[in-house]
Amino acid sequence: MGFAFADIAGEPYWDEAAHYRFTAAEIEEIETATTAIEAMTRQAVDYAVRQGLNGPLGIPDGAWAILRKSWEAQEPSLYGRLDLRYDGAGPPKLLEYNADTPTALFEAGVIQWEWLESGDGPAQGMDQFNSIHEALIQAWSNLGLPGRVHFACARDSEEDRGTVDYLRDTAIQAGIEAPFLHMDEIGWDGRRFLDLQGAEIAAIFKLYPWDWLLAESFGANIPRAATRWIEPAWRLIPASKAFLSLLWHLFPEHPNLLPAHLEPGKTGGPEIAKPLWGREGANITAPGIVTDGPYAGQPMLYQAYAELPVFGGRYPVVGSWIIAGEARGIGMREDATPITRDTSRFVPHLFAGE
Amino acid sequence: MLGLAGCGESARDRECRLAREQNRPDAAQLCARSQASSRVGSFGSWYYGRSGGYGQTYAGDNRSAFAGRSGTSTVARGGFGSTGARASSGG
Repeated sequence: MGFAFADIAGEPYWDEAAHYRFTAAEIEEIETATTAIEAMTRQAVDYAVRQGLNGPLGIPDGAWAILRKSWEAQEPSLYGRLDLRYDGAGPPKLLEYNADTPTALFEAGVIQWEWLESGDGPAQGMDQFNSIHEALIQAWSNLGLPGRVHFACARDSEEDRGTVDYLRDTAIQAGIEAPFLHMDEIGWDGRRFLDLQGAEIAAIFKLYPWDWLLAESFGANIPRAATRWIEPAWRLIPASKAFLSLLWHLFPEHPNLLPAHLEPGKTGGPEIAKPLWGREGANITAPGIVTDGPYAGQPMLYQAYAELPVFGGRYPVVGSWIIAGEARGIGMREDATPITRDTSRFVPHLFAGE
Repeated sequence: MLGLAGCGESARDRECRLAREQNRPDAAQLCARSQASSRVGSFGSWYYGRSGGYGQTYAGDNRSAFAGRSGTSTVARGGFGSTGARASSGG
């Protein structure tokens, strides 16, 4: 299957010893919530752009023009993943939106589907909320891209490379030429970004966060080149954890949102503090929980703490995939602790069809 | 055939309506802009005036990497990737 990162750091990552079983009504509830959150996100991004809210979002003035231009040009998004708390009793709640560099895509779109199709145990006769793969292939054709799109990620991450290679495969199936290069191999000739053969990079999918791109030495060249970036630059807005507080401000008491503020003590209860640009559960503070990581010293987002439900001693998060703006499937990650990390296991799901 | 705008239809609403009628891929984004514009003014200050201070979370302002090298045939590499060499990009 080409699943090269079924183990991460010597620990199992893909785990089919268990699975999550939903009802059709529960899947519909997750899909409806995902659609609602995506609609709110786009309204809030537009609000942030027009109001020039880069400061509170933690985005420098120098980067804002790139983001604003990207949004005003309506550059379409390929994909994103909402992390939801869902216990089957109350509505799904948005924990955060991985809008820029979501991973766990190949296992959600392909591996768990193969598990369902090949299963002769509990999976027999069951369905899965998963049209991720088909949606990706279809989406590439609708992004208005040239016939050649470069793909890039950092070196030395098997998971990132696996995700990029999977996306390359979906692009190739859509009829797009999809060469790969590492981020540090991207060249600049004073006018254009170039690949290793000296050809212009007209469009590039990068599994590399916009906050990193803009902070590195070539970042200043981005507005000077005609290169089309995927995800587009405006995705940095919902990628900021501060965006969660903007959502709560614009849509207070929405059933799929948790109270969130830029200052502590305003949610009216226990809070989880997250660095604005933190990833994979690093540098989180919550009741009884403190994680370490490289993001100490960043401004924080304070969100009402809703502890994850526990099933079989594991804390699951629903990763709800949005492809080209539409809810297309879910992937379950679970951990032995209430914080989902990069090492948290991926567990398949199924539901009883109609 | 000319389409008639609805009573009081704004330019953004019209943009949204036309995109939907033409089944264009950017319809969702245009309509989000339209809907958001109708909400402007109904919200107080989200950030309580804290517009400054967060902008320095990471560098990025007013740099000019390789400025002045326009027109040169020299290709520089390595200007991206340094952060990824020491942190995980996934989410």
